[in-house]
Amino acid sequence: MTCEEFLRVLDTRTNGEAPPSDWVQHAQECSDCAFALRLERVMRSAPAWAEKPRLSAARRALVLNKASETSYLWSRLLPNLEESALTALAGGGLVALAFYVAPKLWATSVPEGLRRAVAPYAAPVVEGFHTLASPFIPILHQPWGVGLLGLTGFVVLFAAVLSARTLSIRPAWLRPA
Amino acid sequence: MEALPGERELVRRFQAGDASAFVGIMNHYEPYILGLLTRLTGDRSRAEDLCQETFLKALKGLPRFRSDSSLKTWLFRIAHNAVTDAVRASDPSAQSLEDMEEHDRTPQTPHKDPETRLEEAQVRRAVEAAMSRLPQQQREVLHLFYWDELTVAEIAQALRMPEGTVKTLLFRGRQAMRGQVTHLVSEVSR
Repeated sequence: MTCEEFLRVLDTRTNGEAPPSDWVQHAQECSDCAFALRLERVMRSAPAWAEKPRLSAARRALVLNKASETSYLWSRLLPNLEESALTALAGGGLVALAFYVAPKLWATSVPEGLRRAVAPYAAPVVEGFHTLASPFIPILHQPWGVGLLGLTGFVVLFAAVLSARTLSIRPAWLRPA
Repeated sequence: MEALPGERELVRRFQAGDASAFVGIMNHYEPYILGLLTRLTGDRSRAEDLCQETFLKALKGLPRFRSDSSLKTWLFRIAHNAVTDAVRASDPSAQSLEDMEEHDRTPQTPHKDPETRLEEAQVRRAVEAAMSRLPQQQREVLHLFYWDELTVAEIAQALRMPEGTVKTLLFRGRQAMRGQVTHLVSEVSR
């Protein structure tokens, strides 16, 4: 083995496998390569002799105080955000479905007699809703209008649910006994 | 580097609101992170600033950290990014870490028979001194490989570079180290 070969083997090692026997023999015969091997061993043993520095007490305290805040905030805020988003999504989906399905069911499945009986009471409600919804109807005809309106609805619902959860506003029937 | 026992459990506990779990994580990784940053900056005070910044950034990311990833390589990546940003911020005209790879400062002083001239402690001091003279990328890879005992794959993950690049840096770093240490030995023995 030549010095060049020896150093190439030494410089390309990426794990702690045992060196080939002719390699060790060469190191015993060549002082330069022996030094290279010694240097490699000194570096391999660095974790044992190297200094283990530590942050100053003030810096550690600063980081650990921040850890308490972060952990507290996230552990309480994150589940709350997730659950509020899911509730808003589910609620919004159900409301949207109801608005889509209800008129069709009203027209096809409700008996004529019942519709006539309910009409005087339902008409003001429908009219009131129409008055409220009419400003938004042109938006539905714009490109991205449905998505934009859906997103707005979700944000409003999400904010409402989150506020209610954060303020622990619960109807009596939802409160634990 | 020894593995942190119960690392996943500590991360899970922190994510569940137990701040004391972070103490365990910090106690274990702080010496390694601070050691690397001291090596890279050559300035203990600046290294402490960056180490603090690293752990504060880790705190921000930890609630979303996925436990199937390696916490060790993730923390080293944050430290690497912190020092890279600091180098850029302090001197925008400074060479990037990538450019530094090409900057070879290995002296070519020939020296005969260095093996017999040095005591173990002297070799260690020469190694420390030689490390500070290496290009930054080689220094970082050598430190992670030898001092922090990361594998080539872990270094590649932490520094976001291909394993082949890590091996090349390791190869060149060893050659440069040998040149530097030999040079220092010749200076000592003069």
